[in-house]
Amino acid sequence: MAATAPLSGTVVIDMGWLMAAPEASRFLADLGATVIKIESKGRPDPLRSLGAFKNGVRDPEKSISYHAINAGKLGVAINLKHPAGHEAILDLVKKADVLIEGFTPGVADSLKLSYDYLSKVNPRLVVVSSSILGASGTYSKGTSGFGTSGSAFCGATHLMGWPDLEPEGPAGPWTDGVAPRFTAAAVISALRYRQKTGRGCLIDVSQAETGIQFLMPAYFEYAVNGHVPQRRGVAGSPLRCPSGVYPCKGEDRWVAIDGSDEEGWLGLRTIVPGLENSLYDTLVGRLRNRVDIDNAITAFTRIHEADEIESILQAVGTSSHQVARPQDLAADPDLVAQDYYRTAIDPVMGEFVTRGPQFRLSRTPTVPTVAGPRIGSSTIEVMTELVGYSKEKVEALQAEGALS
Amino acid sequence: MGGMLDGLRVLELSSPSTMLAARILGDFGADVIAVEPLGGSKGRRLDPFVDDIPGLDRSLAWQALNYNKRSISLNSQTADGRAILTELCAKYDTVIEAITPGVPSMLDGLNMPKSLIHCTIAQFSFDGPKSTYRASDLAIMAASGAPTLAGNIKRPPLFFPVPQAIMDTGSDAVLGVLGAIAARDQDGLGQKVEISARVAAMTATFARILYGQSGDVIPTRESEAPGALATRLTYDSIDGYVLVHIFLSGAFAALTKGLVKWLVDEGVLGEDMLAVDWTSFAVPEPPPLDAVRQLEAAINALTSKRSKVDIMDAAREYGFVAAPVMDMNDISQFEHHRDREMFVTTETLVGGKEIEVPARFVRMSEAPIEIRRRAPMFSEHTFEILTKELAMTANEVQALFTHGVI
Repeated sequence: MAATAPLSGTVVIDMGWLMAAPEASRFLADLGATVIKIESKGRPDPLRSLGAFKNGVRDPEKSISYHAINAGKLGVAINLKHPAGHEAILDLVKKADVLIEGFTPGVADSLKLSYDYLSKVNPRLVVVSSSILGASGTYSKGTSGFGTSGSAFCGATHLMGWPDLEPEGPAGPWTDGVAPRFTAAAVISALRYRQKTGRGCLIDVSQAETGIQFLMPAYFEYAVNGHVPQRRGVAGSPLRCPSGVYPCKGEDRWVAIDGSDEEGWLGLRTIVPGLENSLYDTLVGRLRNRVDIDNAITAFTRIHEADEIESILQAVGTSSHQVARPQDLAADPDLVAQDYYRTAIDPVMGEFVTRGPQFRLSRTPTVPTVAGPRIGSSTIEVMTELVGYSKEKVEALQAEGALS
Repeated sequence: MGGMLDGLRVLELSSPSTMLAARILGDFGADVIAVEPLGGSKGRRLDPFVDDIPGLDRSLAWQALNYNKRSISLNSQTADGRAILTELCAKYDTVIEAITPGVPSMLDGLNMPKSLIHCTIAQFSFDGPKSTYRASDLAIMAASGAPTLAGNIKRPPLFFPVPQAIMDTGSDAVLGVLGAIAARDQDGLGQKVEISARVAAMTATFARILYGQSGDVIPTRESEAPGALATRLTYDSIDGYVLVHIFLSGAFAALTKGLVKWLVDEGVLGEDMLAVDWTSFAVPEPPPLDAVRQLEAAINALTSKRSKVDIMDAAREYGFVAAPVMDMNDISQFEHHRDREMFVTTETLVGGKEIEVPARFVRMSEAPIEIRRRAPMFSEHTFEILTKELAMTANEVQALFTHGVI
């Protein structure tokens, strides 16, 4: 008997923009939920204007990031400020299980689309409000932010960079990648809880608060040891030797090596010259001679290619990987073997490379990855089949600007 | 006092990669048991340690990632160990295990119920060319692409000082497990879930990794957004640093106008700047840098005289995007988190000292996240679990101990 997808039959309304909210609903789509992405021609998702762009042509119809985050969703155009548009959203809410929004706190209230309103329309609805600092609290209302803001609030920015320089922070809008996992986990848990109680709930997500989770050991260091963790700059651990990143042949090319454990160390010694000193036989000996060991390794890595070093060292049991650039990952045979990269087709963009799901379930192993929706491409289908509007009504509302 | 997943039972074959996933399920109310080898889970050997003194019950990484769990020790290489594992799997809904391709799973050869969900975590792929790679946090994060996408080009690439691969892995594994639970709720059948640590670690950066196959200009550390004008983001405040965003594209231009108004009102920028159309700098041609540089200089002139909190307040009032660069002390003092009841009290493993930790990563109107129990000491619940759940006698448990099974 063929298995149905885990969340097959679950209807999710995604009113989010950029990444934090939409990525959460991508996970749900990959688990089989029907995800309806709400935009309007007047207010398209700004992610459409962010790269990568296919062949470098900046065009809101050609953003690969947009497609990678919104794969598998249905596009419905609704003008939330139009009275008939607002009514349409509420009619959609009546048929939905989950609604996810990423408005700056206060906006959902002004649109009459906050949990207070929605739960009266559908008490079984699970509502997510996702924002930088969350929907409640002193600094909630009116605080706008992005994943970079989230990183700053959650302690990540402070921890990344060099002790003698200003903080640099993690690459990109970091909490945009962290928050969606916690959001999606809470949604699936809430749906399960609803099976018992019959009630929906509000899940108030602060990107900053989810970001702290990935740094919890540092928080405990502060709470228990009373020490505020600071930037270290140098990669690797002070408790492991050798461990770090080493410069390779070429411009800004590096390889990460952790040869601190016995097997890794013995392997490394067979490849890198200058490590024969018996002082280095023991971990303690290595820790005490870290500089000399690092110099010997650097002398070797400087004259070799990063990917070559990775292969050679892995072959002798030493943990190593080139510090990969996008072009290296494009060619990474392991990612290819995992079916991570997917080819999708979009009517305007044609073929492009995007990414598949983050997990694989054995009973439903094949989850096709398709392009994200065009604005309103499924308005008629969804509003007639799911909500029960007549085709004429939908077309009239489209002409009126309510469903466009 | 049940949470959203009250009634769900989770068996975690404990290792660094499994810890966060099992804990999140426990945070939502699941009953979680961490099964550890006789030498203790490797997760207990992660720094930092209480007072910098290591010990099986002194790891703060362990304590941060293992509350809401009980612990049983088990030598799974023995007949009794395997029997206990089999019995536990029969009573539990899901098993989470970090596997090494080529090495048999701990569940290999055991009689597992069809309803069991087996979440397996590999570092790279399960059977691809790197499946036999020796992993480390360094290697996985290097393989994620993140360190090449940002950071001072005159210095080596940056890695987090807190291991991140296990965090990404754990948060992806939760989704796989919850998906499999949802599937099982439909028809009673379990399944295998596969998670790759390296793929998990790519979540933060896949949008830029995909540049690699897009035909677009690939971002480098030197030029994170090729073609766009790079603007300063980090500024001084009297008590540290703040991030202030300058937006140069149509969708967010209003936010830059708000920023300019603040600077003009505070007298660090001339009124003529109110008329500048900031969206005119979005095109990838040599842009007129003067106005943007003036703006950056004015921001720093002002922020360096203000506190992080004042700047945050100004951002809300004027409608621009700014964020204080907080450290752990700032976070513990931030009243906003207290309003939201983010902190939950628990106790340390050693010394039983009460501490408040930022446990509520989402705020829910029903069944909130709680810390029902602190992280377990090594083998803390072995006796309880074997006698109460597997109906063994005290004599039998003692016998198992003397024979090195537990």
